[in-house]
Amino acid sequence: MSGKAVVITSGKGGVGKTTTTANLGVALALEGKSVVLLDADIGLRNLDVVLGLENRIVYDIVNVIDGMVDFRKALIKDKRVEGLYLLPAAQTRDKDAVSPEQMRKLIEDIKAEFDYVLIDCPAGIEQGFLNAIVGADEAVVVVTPEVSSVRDADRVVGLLDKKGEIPMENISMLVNRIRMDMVRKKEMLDVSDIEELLRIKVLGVIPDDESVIVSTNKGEPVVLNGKNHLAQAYRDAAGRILGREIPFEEKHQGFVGTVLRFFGLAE
Amino acid sequence: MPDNLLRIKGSKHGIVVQFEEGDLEQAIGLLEEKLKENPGFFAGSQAILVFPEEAQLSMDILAGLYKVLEAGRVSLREIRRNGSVRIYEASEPETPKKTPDEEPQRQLQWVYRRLRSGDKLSVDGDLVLIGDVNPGAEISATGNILVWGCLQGVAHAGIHGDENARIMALKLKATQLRIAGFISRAPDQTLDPIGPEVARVGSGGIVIETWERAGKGEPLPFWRRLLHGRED
Repeated sequence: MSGKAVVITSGKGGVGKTTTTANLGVALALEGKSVVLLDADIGLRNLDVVLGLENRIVYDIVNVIDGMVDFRKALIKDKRVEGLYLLPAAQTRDKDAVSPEQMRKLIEDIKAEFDYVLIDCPAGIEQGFLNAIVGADEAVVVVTPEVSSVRDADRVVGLLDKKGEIPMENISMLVNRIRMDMVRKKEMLDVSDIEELLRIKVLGVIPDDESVIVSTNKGEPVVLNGKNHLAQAYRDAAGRILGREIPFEEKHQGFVGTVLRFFGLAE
Repeated sequence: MPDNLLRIKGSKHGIVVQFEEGDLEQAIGLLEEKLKENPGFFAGSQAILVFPEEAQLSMDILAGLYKVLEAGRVSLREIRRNGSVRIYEASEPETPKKTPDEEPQRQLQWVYRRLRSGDKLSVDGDLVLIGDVNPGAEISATGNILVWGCLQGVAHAGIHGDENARIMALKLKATQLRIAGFISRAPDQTLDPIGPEVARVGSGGIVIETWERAGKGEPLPFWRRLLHGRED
């Protein structure tokens, strides 16, 4: 079996890479896939916290790369979702503790036994970024509807293109924290504005929602708790990773939405 | 006329005329004779004139020499005294092979790519870019720049000082335009251009005109168009 490695990156920090990694991972596992979430943010690990698995870390990625333990031993199994595993980053080391070659080898090893490896990339475009993208087959660039975020995403897409290891058609973007009411008032960039600049396919559009903050703090990815539109947006994105054609839902909001909802014509 | 006033020999830079101690006017007369004797041999060549250190070189003598050389269709390359003191040097020795009506060859480069933030592209000659220039990217050329796409980064045409260079784009939304030594920036409030536009150096800096109006009427300065919108 040879799985796929997908790196979740952005350039800019704070746009939601880790939250995206956690939720896409849970959504893929809920689809019955075996998934390893790999935290490549060595020195600033977060993915374990977002997943609520912090207190179960014994070994980390640097231990694996140093040959201290086998990667299978370092994996933390998620109790809530079948098939979901975390390979945590080391908190007490830094990005130079691993080399791109070692990362490539590790990801190859994991891919041989799992369907998906989702790599949570650190912010920036330095060594940590280079380590994170080296073994990836696909890239998801997380971008928020802000000019600075779009600019950094553009730079990252350019760097990925130049590296040439991930073909352009395997690079997609996930627009995070969009507020349709603001887009409608032209106070926020629309998905099409971002698409026009980045010229890569859209993997998902995630609405801005306070429940993400709550779930992040509780260590429970939003996809786990059922059927709100936020969870659906992540599930749709995961479905597109699996190669499904899923249309983008145009949510009716504002007055029209109110009327439609009143007559039971919209959610 | 004594023959030892002057020695002429060939060198790879042209003919070297060595003046010896003695009457300079006589020597010039001698040179004139020699050039006349053998016009086919000397015509079209370059002369390096070498004078003795003590020779009195007046304007009259030099002017006379110049006339003699001109009559013999010899161009002056260098004047110097014995030793190495150079008195005169022709500014740019003309390349003899070039015919006057031949334009220097200009390079035109076609580039098919999208320039993303952090990308840089610089070409020698004119540049045609098929693709967009995203904000944070930079393109430059020694000649003109044509962007068949949306120009949002920084563009610099005529980087070696060609003020006739132009920047053209289907959608000219550059953060900064530079032509030769001129710099113009987009103001903080920008309006989308309506159609393809041409930027060039006009009175008072870089100006922009729509491609239909290029060359006709009064163009708008770059900053003004974007500050106040199109006024035509």
